[in-house]
Amino acid sequence: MTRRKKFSTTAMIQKAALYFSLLLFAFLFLMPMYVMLVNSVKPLEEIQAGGMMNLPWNWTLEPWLKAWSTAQIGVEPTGLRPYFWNSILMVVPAVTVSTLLGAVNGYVLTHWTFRGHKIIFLMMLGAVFIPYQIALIPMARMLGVFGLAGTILGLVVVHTLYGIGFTTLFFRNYYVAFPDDLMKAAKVDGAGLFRIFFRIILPASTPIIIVTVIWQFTNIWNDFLFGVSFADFDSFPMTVALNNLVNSSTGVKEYNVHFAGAFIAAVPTLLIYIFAGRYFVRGLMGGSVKG
Amino acid sequence: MTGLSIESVGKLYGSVRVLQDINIEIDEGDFLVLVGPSGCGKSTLLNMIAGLEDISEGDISIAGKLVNDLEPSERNIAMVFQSYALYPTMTVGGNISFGLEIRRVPKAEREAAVARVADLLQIGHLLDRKPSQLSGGQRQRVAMGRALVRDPKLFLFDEPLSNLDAKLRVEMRTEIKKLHKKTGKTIVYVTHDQIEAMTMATRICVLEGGDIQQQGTPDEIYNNPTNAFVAGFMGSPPMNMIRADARKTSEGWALSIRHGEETITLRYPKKLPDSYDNKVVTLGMRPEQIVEEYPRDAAEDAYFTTTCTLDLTEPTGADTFGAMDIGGLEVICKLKPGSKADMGDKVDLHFEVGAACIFDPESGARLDH
Repeated sequence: MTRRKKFSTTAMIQKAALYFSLLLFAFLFLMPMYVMLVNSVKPLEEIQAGGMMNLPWNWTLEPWLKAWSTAQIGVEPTGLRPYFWNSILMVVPAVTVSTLLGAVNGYVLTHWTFRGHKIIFLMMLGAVFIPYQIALIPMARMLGVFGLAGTILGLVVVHTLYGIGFTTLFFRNYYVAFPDDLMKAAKVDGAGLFRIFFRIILPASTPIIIVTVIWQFTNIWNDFLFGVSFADFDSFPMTVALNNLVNSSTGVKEYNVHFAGAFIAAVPTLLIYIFAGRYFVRGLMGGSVKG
Repeated sequence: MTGLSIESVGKLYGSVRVLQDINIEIDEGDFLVLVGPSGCGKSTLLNMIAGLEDISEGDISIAGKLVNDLEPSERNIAMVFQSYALYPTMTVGGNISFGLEIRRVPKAEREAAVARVADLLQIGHLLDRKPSQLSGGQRQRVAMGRALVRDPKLFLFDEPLSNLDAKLRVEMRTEIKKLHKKTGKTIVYVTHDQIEAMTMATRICVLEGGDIQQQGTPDEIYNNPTNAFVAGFMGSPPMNMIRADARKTSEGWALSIRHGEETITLRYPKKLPDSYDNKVVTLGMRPEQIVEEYPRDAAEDAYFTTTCTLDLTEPTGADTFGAMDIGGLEVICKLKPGSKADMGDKVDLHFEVGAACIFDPESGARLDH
């Protein structure tokens, strides 16, 4: 009995220390979100009166509505709404296409190998390490040549191209663990490259698809540099619009509207994490232990 | 009718040769086992028959039809893999009918075929399950079902039992053999397990280093091996390879072996090439040819009897094997069932010299005739 008690005391202390540090970090991460949230539902006067941490006296959704539909973005009082849709129109096709291409690439690079497949993969892997800034000017030139400068389609193309390196890497590492016999069995059954892909490989790829979609979605949604460089006033994504919202003041800094706007910009990625986050961790671990 | 014919087939990967001049011909309904140690090229040969690997040299015909340039799906074959290779997201039923679906077989026909195969393999109750919910033996059955359902001309098995535990392996072995008897299909079966080869095959082909060492019926392979490799590879415990001095006398050939301090001279009734007079040869004797008790109906003079000292005994239940030292090598002999002999005991052993094989100690070539 005594031994057990002694053991549990140390264990208790360790556990307490663990929980304390976890709570501390959770607090540090959640604090800014709390500040954003409470201040986005306060009238501006309450913020100006100080007490950033206080809960609002008068709860109001006015800042959210304003940020969404009437706030001044640059010269137009449109709110963030049109830009939110710009972002959706950019992110959905870019994520879909880059994920699908990554899956096809990963599949071909692991199970339909050809002469030089290793070199091709290394080159794609290299794309992952190219800093965004280096691609800016050549990319701008290319978009100009193809007549895509300043359009949402242009952004879709840029993000898809930039994403393929990552998505290929993800899918390749996942498919490497698939036994070759599976392809052989399907070939004997009479299936070809694409039928094997769509009927056998893709249905077994849910975890890695989720990982890739989360990764691509958050990266593309949160991108500012490509958006500000390649888009125009009517094709700016959310991130650029948010910046413009904060910078286009008509005298008074409407902090509550800014907070609300920032929150709106963060909502889609938050939702993705909340609903698919557990697959993210599972999927990242997935390749390491052969199932 | 010919089930499968392989003519002068070779395989090269770049400049590396893995198979050369393979010639095999089997009849329809034959059960051919390709057996050999790992890396002997047997799986490559199977993949070439299946069309999963290119044929570098020679021709392969299945049921009389040249298949060199046909896709796997056009060769009228079905294959069972070591890892089962079941499609993980499809149900058992989906796995079995996938090949039919691709061949655009109408749904009603497909369902009937699946039901027939499920009945044959007793997996009817599993049809709605996913492969991950099955045990190893059940997966093996499903993999066979997938092969059987299309009713192909030729079945290919790539070490299908290697992933099963020992007990299940013996069960499935019997089952595959029964299935072969029942369906009468031509089968090519790859394994490294010589017991599987002996028990199931109607024809065995022993491969080593990309060459066929010997092909024939299990009986021929076991009792009349063409070289020391085949002799040593087939059989468990393996054939004893004893160092012996050959001498030609007026009464025929004599072989001298050393056991401890003494030299034992055995009279060898068969003939050897004259050039081996006064040379060292390898005397190959299976454990059941060195026995404590010989069958009652055996001719007395077929055996040479001498006393040997045992180093070790190994009771396996049905049989008891003894180990002794002959010429510096361990030789296994078969003792009386339930023998109580122990280390250091002297026993009278009967050597069935007439059944022994003699090999060249260098090349391993068979010498006696």
